[in-house]
Amino acid sequence: MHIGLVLSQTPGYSETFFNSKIKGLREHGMDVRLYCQGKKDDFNLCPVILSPRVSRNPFFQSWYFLKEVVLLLPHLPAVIRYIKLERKEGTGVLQLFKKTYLNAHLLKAKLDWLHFGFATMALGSETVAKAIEAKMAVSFRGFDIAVYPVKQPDCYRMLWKYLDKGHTISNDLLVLAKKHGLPEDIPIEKITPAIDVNLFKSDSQIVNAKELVFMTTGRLHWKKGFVQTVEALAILKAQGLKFTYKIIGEGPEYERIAFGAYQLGLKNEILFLGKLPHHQVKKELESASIYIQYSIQEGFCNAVLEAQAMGKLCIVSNAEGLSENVLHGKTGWVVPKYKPQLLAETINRVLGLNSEERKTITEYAQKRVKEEFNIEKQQSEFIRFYKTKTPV
Amino acid sequence: MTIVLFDGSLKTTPFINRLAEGLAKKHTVYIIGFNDSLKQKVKGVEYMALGTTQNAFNLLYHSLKIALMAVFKWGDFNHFFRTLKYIVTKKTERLKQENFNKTLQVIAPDILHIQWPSLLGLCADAIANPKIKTVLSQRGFQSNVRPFVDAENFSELQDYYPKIDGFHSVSKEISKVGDKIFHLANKIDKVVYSGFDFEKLPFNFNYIKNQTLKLLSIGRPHWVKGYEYALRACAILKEKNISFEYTVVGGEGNEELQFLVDDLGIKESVRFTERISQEKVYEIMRQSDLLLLPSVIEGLPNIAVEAMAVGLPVISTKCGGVEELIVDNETGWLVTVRSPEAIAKAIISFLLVSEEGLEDVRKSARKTVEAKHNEAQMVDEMEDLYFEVLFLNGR
Repeated sequence: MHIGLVLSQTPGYSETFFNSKIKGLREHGMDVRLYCQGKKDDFNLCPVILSPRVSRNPFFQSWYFLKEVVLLLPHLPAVIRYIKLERKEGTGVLQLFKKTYLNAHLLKAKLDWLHFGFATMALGSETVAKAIEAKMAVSFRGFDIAVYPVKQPDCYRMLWKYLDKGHTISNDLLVLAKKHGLPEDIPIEKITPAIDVNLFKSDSQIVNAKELVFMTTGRLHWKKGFVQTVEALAILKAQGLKFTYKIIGEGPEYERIAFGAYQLGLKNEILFLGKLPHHQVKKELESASIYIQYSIQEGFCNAVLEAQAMGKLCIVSNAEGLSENVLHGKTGWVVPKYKPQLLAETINRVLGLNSEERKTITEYAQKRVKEEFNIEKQQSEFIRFYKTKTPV
Repeated sequence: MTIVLFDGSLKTTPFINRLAEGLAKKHTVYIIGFNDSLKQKVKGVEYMALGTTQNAFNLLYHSLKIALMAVFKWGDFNHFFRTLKYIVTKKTERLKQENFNKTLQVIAPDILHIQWPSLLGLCADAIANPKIKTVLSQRGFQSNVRPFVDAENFSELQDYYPKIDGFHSVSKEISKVGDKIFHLANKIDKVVYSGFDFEKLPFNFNYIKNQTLKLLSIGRPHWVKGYEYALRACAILKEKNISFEYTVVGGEGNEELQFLVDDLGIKESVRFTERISQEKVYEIMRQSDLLLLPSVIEGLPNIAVEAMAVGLPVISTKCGGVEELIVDNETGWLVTVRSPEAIAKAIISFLLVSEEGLEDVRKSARKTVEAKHNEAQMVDEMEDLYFEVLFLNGR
């Protein structure tokens, strides 16, 4: 079976989701190719086909265009089908030239499945799969379903029309996709992200009980709810709690979060550790008392899976996939979002648990992550995903 | 006295324009900046373009023009060749600095009034030049946020501030904030409130609360403006079945805000618009019931001054210089920062204020801003600051 995965970039080393998916499919004898705009040097899991180059210089652009026209000649039937489909969708002539050029790498492909890694990746390429006589699949990952269509209403109209099968990483995202127009009759499978449970096994269960450390990993982005976490911690400080809050990650919202910390008098309590390599994240996790993920929007969040695998007490928000990631009261605590006061109360409650109660939670969380979110399970689910015929 | 007002661009803010116009009646005032022509120039003010980095030809043209001027004026071939060198080596930052320095040399100002701390690097030579006295404005993000979250910026400002001859602060509060960076007993630091022409801001005598409460905020969708808190307050209003419409002028296109209104289920009651002209702002103010200022931090918000002038009641967070402008329950209402609950509560109590009570607040607000924020007073006080800097050695 030939599978083409469309992403903007080849996945980085730490992007377990795609890397393990690609590895798993290849191990089961499937031919996987990546279609991207850019390739990182260290990526070697499967062949990579880059999208046609775009240059601002009109001379270069004309040259690239002509080259691509010649290269497309052997694939004329697919191109003709594509043009017909696009004309039917009302694409203008000039736009059609542009779209054909931008999709040239896909139009040359011989595939059984064309799978777009994010719904947004499919925009502008909705008819390609049909033109190359492949099935079209798309993954719902978070931002693409929870945020993008809010900004661009009705952006997926064409996608829904041509989609053969969908993949969602959480139930909540599926509900949102339906809200944004996903028809009921398109088959959808839920395959949650997975982590390497062997890598995130805790070596030392001992946490220094004297020093209270909270931790969050994630891009410094508004979606991650760092400001509200800081506001909750300010409430706890006012109650006399002594702690350190470590934030691992970098991003555009540093000033906003850091100013929150400064204004609320938490400058000494909050440490920005920047972006850290995987093994150091693990080391920091080991010394943490509670892992917090009070996001405003979240697809699923591997960091929370990793924290659970490490036997950490996890407090998360109820943003999309998080309430499936953590089962409230069983494997951690789920706090309604936008309520820093409630987050503070929950932290207090968790701190008040005795060691037996904590153990019940963390052990169940570890067991659940190991059983339900391991890479082998994710891999076999993806194989089933492509092998199951879609009802026409 | 010759004064150069420098905010980096020729398209200066209304505040600088009013200041320039007032000062130009008695002094020679220049506005210099890194962009090209300007449609609406302020009367009596000289403009000099330094070339824009957006357009290579424009920068080339202005650089050569300034270099040739220096040759004809002083036979300054050194500068001319330096300019050529930077053009050939494409060192645009150096070129900008050369243009700025030469232009200053041509103008030979008594006062260089730098509007933003971020421009200090560019002004380094001018600051070091004993013939030019420098004044720095303390306002907004670059004064009250960045230095306190960016250690490098803080130490940079600590290097520059002692070399500045005088400071202009938009509020007493921001002056105190500036003291955290640099303080000296004889530091010249004058609070000059922004001034307005109140004839252009007529008081709305026909204010009547709408059936559906019309809430208004105005300003770019930056996190310091705290719109997230206002939107969460709106969600509380909705929960309590209070009918309202909230318009955020200038809030259009922001991903976070769009997500919030959708997620909080208040899409039908909230509207984000693009930026609109000053006249339209005043018009929408006259149609609204209440101005919300949910900011996390402020210097001294001009928009609140304008709302108070036209008689639009204001609920604002207690931050920066706001408390110098609004007295709670007398000229508006104040709430703590970062609290949607407090904003919602204030809006609900606003609904219960009697008509007479509201008239009292509106009139006192107008009186306050007329007394503290008139244009002539701003120009006089700024002039005082310049004289103080010129005749007392502030260093």
